Amino acid sequence: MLTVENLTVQFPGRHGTFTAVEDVSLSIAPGEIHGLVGESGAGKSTIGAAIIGLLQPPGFVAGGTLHLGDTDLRSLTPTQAHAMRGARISMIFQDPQTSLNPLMTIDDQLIETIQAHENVSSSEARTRAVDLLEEIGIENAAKRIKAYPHQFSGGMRQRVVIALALCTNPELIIADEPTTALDVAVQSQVLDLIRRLAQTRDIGFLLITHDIGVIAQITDNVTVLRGGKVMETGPTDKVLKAPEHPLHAIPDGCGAPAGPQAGPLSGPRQRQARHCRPRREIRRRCRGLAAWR
Amino acid sequence: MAYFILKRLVQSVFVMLAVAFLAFSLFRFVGDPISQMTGVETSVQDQDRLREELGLNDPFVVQFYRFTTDMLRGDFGFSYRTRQPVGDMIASRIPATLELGIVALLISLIVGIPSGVYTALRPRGIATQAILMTTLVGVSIPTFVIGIALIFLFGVQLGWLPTFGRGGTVDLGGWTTSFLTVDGWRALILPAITLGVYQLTLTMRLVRAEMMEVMRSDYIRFATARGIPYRSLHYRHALANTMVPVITIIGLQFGGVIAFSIVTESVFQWPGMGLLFLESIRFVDIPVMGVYLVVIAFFFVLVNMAVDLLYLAIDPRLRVKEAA
Ligand SMILES: Nc1ncnc2c1ncn2[C@@H]1O[C@H](COP(=O)(O)OP(=O)(O)O)[C@@H](O)[C@H]1O
Ligand SMILES: [Mg+2]
Repeated sequence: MLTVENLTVQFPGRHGTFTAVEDVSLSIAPGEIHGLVGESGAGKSTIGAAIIGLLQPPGFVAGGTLHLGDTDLRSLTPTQAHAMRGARISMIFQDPQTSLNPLMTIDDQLIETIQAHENVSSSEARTRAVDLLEEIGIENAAKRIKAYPHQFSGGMRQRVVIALALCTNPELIIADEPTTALDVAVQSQVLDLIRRLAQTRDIGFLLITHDIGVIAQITDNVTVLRGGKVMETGPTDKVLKAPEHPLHAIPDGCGAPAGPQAGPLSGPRQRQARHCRPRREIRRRCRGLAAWR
Repeated sequence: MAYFILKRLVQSVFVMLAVAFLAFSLFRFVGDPISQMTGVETSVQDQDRLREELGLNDPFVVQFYRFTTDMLRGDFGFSYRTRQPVGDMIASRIPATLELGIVALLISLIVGIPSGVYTALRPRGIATQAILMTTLVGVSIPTFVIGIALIFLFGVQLGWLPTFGRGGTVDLGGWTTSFLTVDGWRALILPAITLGVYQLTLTMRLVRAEMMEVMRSDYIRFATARGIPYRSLHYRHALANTMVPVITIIGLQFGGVIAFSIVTESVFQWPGMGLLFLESIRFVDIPVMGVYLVVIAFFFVLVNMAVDLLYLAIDPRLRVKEAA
């Protein structure tokens, strides 16, 4: 379904061009969970962004081919690429605290996403959204769909994010560190959900992570990346069992938040505090502006 | 939320008390009220009797209490200069200043927000560079220079618009408005632009900075990855989030617009509170100066409260947290 061949991504900069991804090939079949693992800065997110066509400027695809089914992703016009996003490829980001628009209710966000790609009425879209949330494990969805993102816990919020990525029935979902920001207990629930969705809906997943545990737990195939190049690729159990493989050398750091043992004010909660800009910070900015006057 | 509003109310009361104290000190200790009220021919005994009658020998706290409660009852004392009640003098000037400030604010919003959004979405465009250059000039030129330049160009050279006063006004039960006559509108244009320029550039730069930050946020990236149409992405998702901090600062600035309309009012001889304040400084008319301070402070407090409520209305995270 997805075929990436010899993908090369470059970032032109002041001190020459930086090649973030070099000659990467991988393919994903429907219903397959393909792991993409590597240390921080290996180019994992860049590959995901290149596939969905959202590379941060000045980054650009310098070589290789990207095909989704029969569609040549590199030949799409910007309008065609945008219409394809959501409809055929979706993406899930690392941090559920910041992935949802804080000013819109969950149902507004779901309905808008569905209506962006399909010509359905709002009530029809809402019914579908509620069904989807129930399927994904949010109880009492008909009522909770009217809530705002901040009223959900981290794990529930990541489920909402998954629902948003799923509500348009894409063929491929790129999940960029979908569990890194979650507590360990919630992590495996979300991974189970991804596993189930891949099976029941035949969706291909590109699961980006730096965590070997996640790879071992749910991926079918894995591509190991280092310095923008493929080190190893193949069925997960084979790659993990190979005695000479370099995965043990991958540091676990990446600034990922620690587990629940890190105390009440670490990880997601802290992030939320930063995300929801309190009035105090705005006051501080005012002061800066006054000085500027 | 109730707690939030209550806290604001209490804070506001303290702010008002502090300003009232300032106004009172001004009145009581800058110059001698008795010698201001009486002439040279008044005998010392008469002066002392007046001092006693007016309670100026009472303890400080008692005097301040009386001053504050008088104000609360709407008794603002009398002007040294005109012998009229200060309350009436200020009240008759409020419409001119408020209308000027509101039109200036509207100009700044109507021009500032769209150009802020435009320059944020096309950061490298030629139009963007031109707008940014223009506003940089706008920020760095003092208000009175802008006013004089406008007068020179549109008033003197082209002769299109009047350069002083309010033109035609209509009295609506004590509120004199410029909004109902063509003449009034024509007189309003130049001073409103002068007063609005700074606010406009501030609004534009603020909207631009916030918008660019929001466009880089995860939820905009996620919405883009879901193929949400660009129009909704920019105006529904991004702009709404941009407005949360922008409203706060624009609101606070509006207090400043009213307070600093003094300069514009004097350039255009606009008969508002600012001009009255300048006149009262020239004649050391301390009661008028004091009440002006209190009124402006009250206005700041009101705007602050309005901004808080608006902020609550926009941002659901600040409302009561009921579990979902
Ligand atoms: N917008 C950008 N501009 C310049 N360099 C970038 C940009 N985005 C990513 N890179 C570079 O590309 C490399 C890969 O980044 P990324 O794909 O985010 O790594 P990963 O997701 O594996 O941690 C990094 O070395 C990073 O410095
Ligand atoms: Mg990454």
